[in-house]
Amino acid sequence: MRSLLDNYLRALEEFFIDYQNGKVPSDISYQKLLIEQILQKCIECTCEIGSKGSFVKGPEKVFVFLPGNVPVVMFQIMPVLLLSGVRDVFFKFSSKEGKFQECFIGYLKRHFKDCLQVSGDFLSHEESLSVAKQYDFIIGFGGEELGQKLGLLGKPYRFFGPKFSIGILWSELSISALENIAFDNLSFDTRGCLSMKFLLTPWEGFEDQLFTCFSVTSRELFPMSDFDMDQSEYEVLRHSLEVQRIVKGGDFFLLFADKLVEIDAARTLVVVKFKDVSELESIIYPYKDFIQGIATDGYYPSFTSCSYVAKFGELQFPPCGWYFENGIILDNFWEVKDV
Amino acid sequence: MDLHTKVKDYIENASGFDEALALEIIEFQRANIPVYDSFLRANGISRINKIREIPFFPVDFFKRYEIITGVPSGYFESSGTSGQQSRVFYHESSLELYKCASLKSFPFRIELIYSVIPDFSIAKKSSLSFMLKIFETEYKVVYVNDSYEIVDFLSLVDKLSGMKSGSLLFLTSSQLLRLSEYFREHGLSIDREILVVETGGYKALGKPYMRSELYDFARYAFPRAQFYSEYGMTELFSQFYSTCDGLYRNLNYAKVITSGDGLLRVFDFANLYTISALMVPDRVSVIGECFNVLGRMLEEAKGCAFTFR
Repeated sequence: MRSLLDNYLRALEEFFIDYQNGKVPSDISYQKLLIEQILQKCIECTCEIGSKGSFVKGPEKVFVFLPGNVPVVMFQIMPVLLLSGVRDVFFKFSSKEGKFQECFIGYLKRHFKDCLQVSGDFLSHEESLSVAKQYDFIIGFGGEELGQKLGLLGKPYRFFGPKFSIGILWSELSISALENIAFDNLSFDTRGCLSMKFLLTPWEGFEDQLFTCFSVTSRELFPMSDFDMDQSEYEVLRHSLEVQRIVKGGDFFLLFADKLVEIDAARTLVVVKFKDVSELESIIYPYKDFIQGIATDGYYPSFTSCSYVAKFGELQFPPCGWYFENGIILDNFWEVKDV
Repeated sequence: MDLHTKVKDYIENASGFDEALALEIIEFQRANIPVYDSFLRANGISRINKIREIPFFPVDFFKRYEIITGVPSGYFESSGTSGQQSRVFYHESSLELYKCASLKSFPFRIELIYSVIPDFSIAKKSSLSFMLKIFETEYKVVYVNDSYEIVDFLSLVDKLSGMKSGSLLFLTSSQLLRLSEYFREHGLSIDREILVVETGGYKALGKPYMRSELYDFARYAFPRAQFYSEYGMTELFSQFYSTCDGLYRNLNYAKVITSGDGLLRVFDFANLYTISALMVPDRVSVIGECFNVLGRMLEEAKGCAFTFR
C-alpha cells in the first residue's frame, strides 16, 4: 500500500506541474490559483498519511460518482481508496468536469500500471447505475436524487449528499477577515460544499469594506469560464423581497438579510445579521443537517452536521484525513448500514 | 394627456425608444404596485435616471404575487410547462393596451387566419387565445381545434384541407410538430402558399428541437409554406415575430434591452398596468435590431453544493 501511495504521490506531483504549466485540458477554465493550492495540500496530505502507516481492509472493486461543479473531489477520495487496498476503481465523470477528470485518470494509469485498475467514463445516470451494480461498493457525491437511486441498488454504498458552508464573523472585524471571507465565498464560484454561502455576524456598517474586499479578491478568484452573471442576477433578483439590500459587483453579489435566504446563485454571499447566540442558533438550526463547513473567528454551534471548522480563508483546505462528513474516519469509512 | 393615452399613442406611432416615457411608466408602477416598490428599494434604487440602471423584474414574481395597478377583472394563466403557473391580472384599460400592442406587433398582411389555438371562449385563461380573439377585430379567424392538444386529427386535417393560398396558420410549436408527424405518417400535405406561424415553446416538444429543424420537418406537410415564429408570453402584452431573417424583430414599444448575449431584459410599454421592465429566464442573442432566442436558462447542474428548492 505504501508503494501505491508513492505512485499516487508521483502522479499527483506530475499532474500539479503540468496543471501549473497549462498542460491539463478541461472543459471549464477553473480558478487556477485555487486548484493549485488544493493540489499542493493534497500532495502534503499524501506524504503525511503515507508516513503514518495506518491502513484498513476495504472492498476490492469500488465505483465512484464524482460531483459536478467541484473538480477536486477525485484528489480527495483517492487516499482512502489506496489506504483500503482497493484493487479496481471506476469514476463516473461529471458532465462539466469530465475532461479534467479524464486527464487525471491518465496520470493515475501511467503511474499505477497493473498495481491498481483505475478507469472512468462519461456515462448517463442510468448507464452508471447499471455499471455500478457490478462493483462491491459505491461512493456517491451529488444531489438527493442520486442518493435515492443508490439506496435502491442493493449494494453497500456511502453517499455524500448536498451541503453548504457558512461563516461566523464575531470577535474581530478586520480587512483581513473580510478578504478571507471573500476567498471562501468566491472559491469555485460558491458552488462547492465547502464554499461559504452565508456569513452570519452581529457587526454592522462594513458593507463598503466587504465590497472592496470582494472586488480585490475576485481578481484572483476570477469567475470560472462557465459562470453566467445573468443567471446569478436572475436568481438574486428573484429573492429581492426576502433581503434588505442587494449590492451588485462586477462579477459577484452581496445580499444583506436577517435569515438564511434559500438562494442558489453563484458568486453570491448572503450576510445575515444576528444579535446574540440564541438568535444565531435559531437562524442556523433549520439547516443544521446541511452544513458542511463553518469558517469562524471563534464561536460555532455544535449541533450541526459540520465536518470541518476552519479559520476564514481556509474552508477549501480541510485537514489531512478529512473524509467529507462529520464522524467519518478511515476506520469506519466502509461501514454502512441497511444494505 | 393622461399616461394611458400617452402609452396608447406611443404604441401606435412609436418611431424610437422613448426613455422619458419609460421612466414615467416606472414611477407610475412603483407608486401603484407595492411589490415593485419593495423590489426597487431592495436593489437600492431611489431615483431613476436611465433604463439601463434599473434592475429588471424577474417574471417569476408573477407566480407569487398579484401584480396590477387598479382593480382586476380577471387573469391569464401561463401554461406552466416549466413549473408553477404565472397569473397575470388584467382589467379593461390594460386589455385595451394589449389589443393595441398585439395588432401593432402582427406583421403579416393577410385576411384569413386558421387557428389551431383554441377559441378564448374555451381557453378562458389563455392570453394566446385572447390574442387570437383580438385578431378577430381585424381579420377573419377560423378556429379549427378545441384545445392545446390535438385530439381529432381527422377533423383537423379536413378543416385545413380547405385552407386558401395567402392565409395564415397559427399554432403552437408542439401542435406544428404533432400535425407534421401525422401528415408524414399518412402521406398528406397542404400544397399551398400559406404562412405558418408557430408560438415557440420548444421545451414542450418532448425532445430538444432547433427551430430550423422543426421547420425542415414541417416542410413535408406544408411544402410551399413560409414559416415564422411568434415569441410572446403571458407576462408580456406585446409579441415579437421572426421577420428579421429568421430572428425576432425588436420593437420600440417592447424594447429588448439585453446587450449581446444574455437573459432577456425587455421594456414593454403595453405592460403599463403590471410591470414593464421584465427579466425573462430565456437566453437571447441580440444582433442589431433583431434577436434570437437561444433557449430557457438551465438550472445549475447539481453537485455536492446544496441546492435549495
